[in-house]
Amino acid sequence: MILPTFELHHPTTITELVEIARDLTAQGEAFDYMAGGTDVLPNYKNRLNPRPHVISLARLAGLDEIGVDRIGARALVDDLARSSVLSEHYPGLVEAARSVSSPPLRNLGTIGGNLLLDTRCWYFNQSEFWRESKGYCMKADGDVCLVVPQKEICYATYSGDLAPVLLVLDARVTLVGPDGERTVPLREFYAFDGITRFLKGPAELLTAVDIPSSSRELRTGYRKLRMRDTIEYPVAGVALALHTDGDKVGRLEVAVTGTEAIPLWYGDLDLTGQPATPATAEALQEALVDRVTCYRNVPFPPGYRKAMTGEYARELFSALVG
Amino acid sequence: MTDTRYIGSHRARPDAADKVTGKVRYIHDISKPGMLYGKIKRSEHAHARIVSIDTTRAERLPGVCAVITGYNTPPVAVGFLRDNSALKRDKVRHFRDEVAAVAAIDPDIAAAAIDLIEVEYEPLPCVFDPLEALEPGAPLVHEQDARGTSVTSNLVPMECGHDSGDVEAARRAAAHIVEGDYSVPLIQQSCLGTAGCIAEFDGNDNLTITAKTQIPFLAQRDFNRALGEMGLRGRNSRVIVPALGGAFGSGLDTHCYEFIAILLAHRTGRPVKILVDREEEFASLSPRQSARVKIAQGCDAQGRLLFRDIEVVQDNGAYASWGATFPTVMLLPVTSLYRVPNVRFTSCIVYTNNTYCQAMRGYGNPEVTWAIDSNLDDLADAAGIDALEMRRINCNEPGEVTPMQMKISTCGLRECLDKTAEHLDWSEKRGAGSGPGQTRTGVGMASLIHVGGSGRIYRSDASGLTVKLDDFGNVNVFYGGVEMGQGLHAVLTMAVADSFGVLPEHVHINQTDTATCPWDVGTHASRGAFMSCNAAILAAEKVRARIFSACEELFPAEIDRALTKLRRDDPELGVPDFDFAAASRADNFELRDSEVFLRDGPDVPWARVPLGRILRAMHFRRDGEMLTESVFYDPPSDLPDWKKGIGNMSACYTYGVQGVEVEVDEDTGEVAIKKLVSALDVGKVLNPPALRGQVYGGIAQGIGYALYEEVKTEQGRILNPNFTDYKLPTACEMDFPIVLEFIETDEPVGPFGAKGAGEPGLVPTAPAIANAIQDAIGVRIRDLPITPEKILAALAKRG
Ligand SMILES: Cc1cc2nc3c(=O)[nH]c(=O)nc-3n(C[C@H](O)[C@H](O)[C@H](O)COP(=O)(O)OP(=O)(O)OC[C@H]3O[C@@H](n4cnc5c(N)ncnc54)[C@H](O)[C@@H]3O)c2cc1C
Ligand code: SF4
Repeated sequence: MILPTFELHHPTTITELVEIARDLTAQGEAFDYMAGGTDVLPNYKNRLNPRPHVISLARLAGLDEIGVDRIGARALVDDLARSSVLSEHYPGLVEAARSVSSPPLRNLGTIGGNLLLDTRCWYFNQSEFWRESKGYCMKADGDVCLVVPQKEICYATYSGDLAPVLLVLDARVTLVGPDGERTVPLREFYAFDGITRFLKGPAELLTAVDIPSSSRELRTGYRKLRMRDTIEYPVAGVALALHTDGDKVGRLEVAVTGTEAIPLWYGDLDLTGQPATPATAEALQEALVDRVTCYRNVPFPPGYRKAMTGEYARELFSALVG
Repeated sequence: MTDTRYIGSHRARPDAADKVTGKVRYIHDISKPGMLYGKIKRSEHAHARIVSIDTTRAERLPGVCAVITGYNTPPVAVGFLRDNSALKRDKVRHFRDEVAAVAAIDPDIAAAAIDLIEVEYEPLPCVFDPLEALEPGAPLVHEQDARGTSVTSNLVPMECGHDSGDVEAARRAAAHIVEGDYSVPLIQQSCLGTAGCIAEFDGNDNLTITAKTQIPFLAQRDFNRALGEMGLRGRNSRVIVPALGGAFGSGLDTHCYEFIAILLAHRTGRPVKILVDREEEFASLSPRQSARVKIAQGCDAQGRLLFRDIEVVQDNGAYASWGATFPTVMLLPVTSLYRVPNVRFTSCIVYTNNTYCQAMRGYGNPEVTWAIDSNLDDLADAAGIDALEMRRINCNEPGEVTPMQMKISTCGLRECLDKTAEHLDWSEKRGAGSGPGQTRTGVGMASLIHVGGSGRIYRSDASGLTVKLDDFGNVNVFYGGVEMGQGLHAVLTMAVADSFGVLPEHVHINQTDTATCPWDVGTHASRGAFMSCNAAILAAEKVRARIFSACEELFPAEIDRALTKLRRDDPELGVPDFDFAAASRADNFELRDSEVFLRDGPDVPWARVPLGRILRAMHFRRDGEMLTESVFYDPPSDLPDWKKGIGNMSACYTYGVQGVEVEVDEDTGEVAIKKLVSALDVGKVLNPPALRGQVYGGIAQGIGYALYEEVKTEQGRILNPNFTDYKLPTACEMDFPIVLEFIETDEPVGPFGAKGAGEPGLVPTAPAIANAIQDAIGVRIRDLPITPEKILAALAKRG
């Protein structure tokens, strides 16, 4: 498939980038940032909301550091997967990074692009011809949802692997834009439906992900449902972070990806003080299955995906206690 | 024939260097001066009347050279039942039916022009389920047959069945009977190299088409017929086959896009190239059809099979291609896998508004073997007999004549069963059950029979081969079969080297081209090596006889010349006391590694004459000759009576067994393969690495069929027309030990004793896996692919 035409901008500094973004915004010109391009470009080929301008991050210096507190937005997924610092402190993050797509894509894809990954759906990730013949949906070019027709929001599935782990680690993201810099807890960043996805201005650049030092006490794990062991988006992925207090749960954080339009942190699942036993693992499993919703727009039937989120949470809990 | 020094040895393939260095030219890499790019406008409806087509805007787009529809071109019928047409008139019958096409100076303009064509449709009621399509009052996909006669049902007019012995009586006599309803999904051949062609006409209106095909000569016949329909009766088409990036059956028929390229090339007077993209490949290049298989098998108290009763309903999709003839190959396992005296087989193929289907590796065989070998395990269970023992009891034997009248010459099934059981640790592991934690382990096996000596499904099942020897001792081979990655050229090089007695470096297999190669029915039915090597052996006999007869005169003179030259350098040269002139009789000569010598002559270097020297001597003497020979090998087999399902369709039969050890997670339903054993009776191993490659590849496809692959459709529309969502197994899914055993039964009609082995690799994989899953967790999955949610659902039912 052939890319549509767009103007490519190649800023070398953040100041230059912000200026380009400001100018384009002032001119009413739509644009996308592109880091690795492993999500942007396939979508453009399918004519999924292509913009006339693309601002590439390829020539920016820096923003690619990987440390225990801070990860630059341009850090490669493959570098996360191989990082000894991360594997020492946050093995769950490394596991998640390792499970992203395939080696060549991990070598291009960045953590920033991964967090901001577009949502996926049978009726959206298709060629222009396919979508036109079916009738466009509201996520691109149309005005109805083909999955849940009676609703006016989009249920496309969030399919990034890193977000759930960063949610349980209570990470924050730093955004830089024409209106300055701000930091947002990831737990408040994702919002609404498969079209809106998050609270980020179109001109805002994600520069860094910060992990609070309080998260270092947590043991983390990640497990995803997929048909094959590679080149597979999660269609249900569970991240768990656990701190045990003796033989009791001190702190337990749970987040899920691949189920709804945004990755979800289940802050209300309070198992603090419960014994770290298989019975608690089963309670967690049940509570999670109760809360998870899936739609029929990616591989595997919703019921199975739901069941597996619970199952994986139980297995992860036991492994982290182990 | 000389002894074999290349056959059976490890040698690099002749096409390897070009492939690994990227020098090979696939259809995508080829262009011609002045070439235009064609693009097809396809239907957006599964079933609709075409009300109007407006091409005016497309025609006005600069760079567009032609816009054609079914209304401004002569009708060109497509398919062996002539029920399809290159460009549709009146109505479309599935998504992506071809309604118009453009030729433009570049692909972007062609794509833009396609978007400017406006087609108005009036949607018609659709039918997607073959059983619903058979019900009275179902929408008719075709209201008329090719002759214009009205039809009243969606049945494809293809009759294939079998009824031998007395199934009803055997049913009554059986001590144990097990029935089951099985299904297999729509799957894709998934060639890495997508399809395409370039069509061009010369000034005399003769066509040359470079096309991705496995059947150059049947394609020539189809294209010539199309030329006739275009008012060019008597003109010829020349089919040239470029390097292929896989075919797996997708090149077994001619396709609408090829006829459209021909129409566009004729309209514009310029070469026109059409490439099929991945999505088009999924939707319009004819995958392997889905089918439902209803089976009953019964045995006596000792486990001897008494009968087999099978009904197949196959979804044909909107038009008939070779997929509609799958039951002809289903007959093979249905009547002849294991000894079974009473067999009934009925098949029905139904038109629907789904994408239409055609050939894929195994051609109907995996679909029914899935049911037969899964059901056999259940029957063994019912009879209280071990599944391996059950197979031994009913094992085919050499010399057997099966209910289909297939004459089994060599048969290594028993050895295959034993080897598989041994490598799988069957006696230890079968029924042993538990694995770590919530996992359970199990072992299972399944067998296969397939045509080993080509499969006669056409009036001629022959292969021609021409050789042209030159002054330098080269053997140029012209063979009409197709190298599509399977290693045909490698094995043919070895076979020529061994049967002629020349060095493999001197063997050159030329591009497949209907203008230069003799006729061949096509590269299918695992026939490439069997046919081409047998043809090579025939050609070798002729060529060697001519060389040896010429040597009666030429050889003594060549020796004299050599000796004179040697004596000049070394007057002391000792010469054995041997009368070359007297010994030079045709039957005394031998040719080996491109040197001619006397079998009982002295073993000294000067008594061997390079073949090139002899060939030059033959050329440059008075009444000189150049050596070319042509042979036409037709295997000893019969064209079956398909309605009765009787006939010895192949010259010999290949047998095999696969065994699998699995680990099933009872909490998630996930299946992990721990080990796979494949034992295959191939007659003789011709090219060890290529054979292993064929079997490994087949196993990968078999695993895809068993666990992952399914073209998902919704109202006829394919939901996953790409390799992100269509789940081909990857290297990760193949990460387990595979044990290969080859049984060499030395087949008398096989070249060097070999039988065909191209397709069998994938035939028994799915039932072997299902049987292992059943052994592990006690549930029987009958619908492919075996996904974890199906396993969990079955476990929930089991309780
Ligand atoms: C076949 C295939 C399989 C895949 N499998 C997986 C998988 O298993 N798991 C998974 O998580 N992902 C998967 N992906 C998606 C993707 O490859 C990864 O998520 C990758 O990390 C995305 O990073 P990127 O830099 O390439 O993103 P890009 O494509 O460059 O960008 C993605 C989005 O983020 C925006 N963006 C990127 N960086 C910034 C920034 N710094 N500031 C503001 N906006 C920004 C872009 O505008 C765009 O909207 C897969 C992709 C493919 C094609
Ligand atoms: S969920 Fe609905 S709106 Fe969203 S992409 Fe799918 S069909 Fe479109």
